[in-house]
Amino acid sequence: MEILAAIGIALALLTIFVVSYLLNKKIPKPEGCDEDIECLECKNSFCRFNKKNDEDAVNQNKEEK
Amino acid sequence: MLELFKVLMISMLTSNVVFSLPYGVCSYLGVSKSKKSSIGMGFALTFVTILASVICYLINMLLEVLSIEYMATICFILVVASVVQFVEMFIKKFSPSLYKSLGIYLPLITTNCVVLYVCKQVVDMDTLLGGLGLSNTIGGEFGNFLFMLIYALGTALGYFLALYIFSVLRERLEIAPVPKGFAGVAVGLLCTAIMAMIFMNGLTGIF
Repeated sequence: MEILAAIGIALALLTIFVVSYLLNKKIPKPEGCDEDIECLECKNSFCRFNKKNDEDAVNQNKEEK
Repeated sequence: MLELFKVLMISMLTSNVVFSLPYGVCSYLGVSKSKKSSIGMGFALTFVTILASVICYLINMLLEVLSIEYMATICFILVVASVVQFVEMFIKKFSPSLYKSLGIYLPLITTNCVVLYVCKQVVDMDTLLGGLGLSNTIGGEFGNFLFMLIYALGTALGYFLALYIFSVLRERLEIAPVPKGFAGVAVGLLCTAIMAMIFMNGLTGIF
């Protein structure tokens, strides 16, 4: 019974997270907030801006611009 | 009332989460490049920490009733992640100007261990207050809830304070004649060590 309750709560929270993530993704960003952020603040691998964390890539982008 | 003030001051200053543990150092070093970004991150983290703590406190009560306390960490991670998504969604929809200033920092909070640390700590207030050398003078569940709110606020403000002071120092260090070997993060970490000594030793005994 306890195991079922544990699985139920975990699944409920997981569902809430997935729903909130999908809803958040659907809502468009306000004007002027573009995704193309060249963030060099940290090396957090979970951050959505992490692909920009590569300093060489950012420098290359700047040169191209 | 005095005990509540003590909890706020201890969690903010002498037991500062960045200097005494240390937690949240990644974003502490990363987002402290400018005062503006540190203020944005500080406000966002304070809001999310308080909201997530309240939800986690209530969820933990449910877990205790069902005798499945071992699920706490998994549940809290999901709660923090969901709260960040909801907060981001809400800000995006109703306050575009706030989103412009906080939007970048909101996803970073999901992986900030300060939030999870506070959520884990506040579920057992008796042990937490005992560790701080205090007790629940208000008494009962309401007292615990009030102390929990103050502790969450104090810890988040402590992180905010540390981040802001460090960002001011870093801006000053940019124009200071620092020896080449110490430039950058090295001198920043030295400043952090001095700040930790001031916070943990200099202020101990006041509260």
